[in-house]
Formats: sequence, C-alpha cells, structure tokens
Amino acid sequence: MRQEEISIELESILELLLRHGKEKVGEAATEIITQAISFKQAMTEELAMYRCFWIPFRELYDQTSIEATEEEPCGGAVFCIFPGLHRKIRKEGTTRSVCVVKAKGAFHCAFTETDQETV
Amino acid sequence: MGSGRGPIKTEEYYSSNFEALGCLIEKEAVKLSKIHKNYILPAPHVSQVLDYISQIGALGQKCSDLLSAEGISAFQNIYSQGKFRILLIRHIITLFLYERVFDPFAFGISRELSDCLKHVDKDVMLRGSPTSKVLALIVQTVNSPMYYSYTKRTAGALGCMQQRLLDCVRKRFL
Repeated sequence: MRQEEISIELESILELLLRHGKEKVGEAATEIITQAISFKQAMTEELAMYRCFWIPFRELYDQTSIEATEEEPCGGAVFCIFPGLHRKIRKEGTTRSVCVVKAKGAFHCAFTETDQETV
Repeated sequence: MGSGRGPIKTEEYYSSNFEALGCLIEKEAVKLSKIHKNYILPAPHVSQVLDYISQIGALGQKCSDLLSAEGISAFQNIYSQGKFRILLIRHIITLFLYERVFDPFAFGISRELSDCLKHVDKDVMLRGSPTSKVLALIVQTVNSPMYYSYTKRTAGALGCMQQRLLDCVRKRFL
C-alpha cells in the first residue's frame, strides 16, 4: 500500500465521520500520513528495535506505560488515543522493553460526566 | 573496535518526533471537531462510520464491534459532546495509523510478509537466529498464490522493496 493510497483512505474515513469536504480533511490526512510514514521508515531502518504499542480496550491504567487524559484515571481504558513507543534491549541473552513514549488513553471515568461544549 | 552497527538516530529523535505526531493529531482533531458543536450524527451515518471502521484491520473490527454493542445512541452521545468527539476522532485516526503504518514490520509490505518478518525478528532476539518453523513459514508465504497476487498488484518501487527484504532474509537465513 502506498502513501497516497492510505492518505485517501484516511481522508475517506474523516470525511464520513466529520461530514467535511474533501479539501478540509484531505490536508489534515496528508500531513498526518506523511509524518507517520516518515517516522515509521526511520524506525524500520533503526537497529535499536523500536516498537509501537496499543492500549487494549479495558486495559487498566499503568503509570509506567500509559498517560491518561484525566488526572485520576479509573476503570478500564475506553479509547487509545495515541500509541506508545518502546525500545527492546537485548543484553546477555535476555530481552527487555523500555518505554520511550507513554501511550495515551481515555479511561472509563472520563465518560461518566457530561461535557459542557466548549470546543 | 565498534561493529559499526550502532543506532542511526538518537532516542531523543524518536521520542520528540513521535510526540510531535501525537500533538499534530490532537490539533487536527480539535480543528476538525469545532464545526460539529452540538451536532447529532444521523443514525445511517453512524452505521456507515462503524462499517468503515470495521474494515481497518483486527483492531478496527474490534472497535466497531464495541461501539456497535453500545448502540447507535451511545455513539451519537459521544459524538454530540465536544470533548468526547475529539477523543473519538483521535482514537479513530490512531487506530488507522496503528493498523496501516505502525504495526506492520515495515510500511507497505503485505500482512503475510510482515508476520513472517516479525517471527524472524522475535527468534533473532530470543535465539540469535530464526527457527526452522519460521523459515518454513517464510518459504510457504513467498510461494503462496496470495503473496504472488500481492506482489503483482504492487509492482514497481514497492515490489522491489519487498523483494529486497526477502532477498535479505534468504541470504541471511535460508
């Protein structure tokens, strides 16, 4: 799959979700995809073994690898809003992972209060 | 004397660029969300969105199932409130990027080849070389009609890149 193809695919999803015109979402989709692919390509060439990780649904908050949208996260994760990045380290025959960037997530309690529309 | 196989870029490069991408998604989600203040997404549109999400790999299928299970009104409720709508947009963009860009072994290669290379990677990390089971899986994948049709479809630069990757694996381990 090529960069253009996935930019168009993301554009279609955003268009469907947000009911905006192609121009408005197209610009955002292209910028996001360009940055993401450039990052991924650097990561693939790298020997230090960087890997992205996802917060699964209902995963409990872990302060070592997750940054929550709310100050006191409770309940399981509802949405992973950005993946985390960890680096694998191989030393003396064993492999361990070190969290380089924490994944961001919205937890159950974030959705219990109704929001006063400000945005 | 060093092996010359040190890191290409610093950890700082990865952390700052990755965080910058997260900020870009947040900024775009806020910007794109603004116009929908107090907007209720019509039910047929919700179904369309859920259908589309279900096609974004295994995570998309799971996300769509979970959102569907809560019912269309729950989705509309999330969508109608600014803070939650932004979280939803960020979640969907992220899910898409994770499935299409970040999770595969390398961008642009087939899912089958990506899985094979991940197995090689895992074995190399654990044992120093891949197991015969993983090597057999690579041979099976490369010889499969599905892989053949994929490489035919993605001719050109991408096909060459895949071929180079496979050649590396063959040369090193087969």
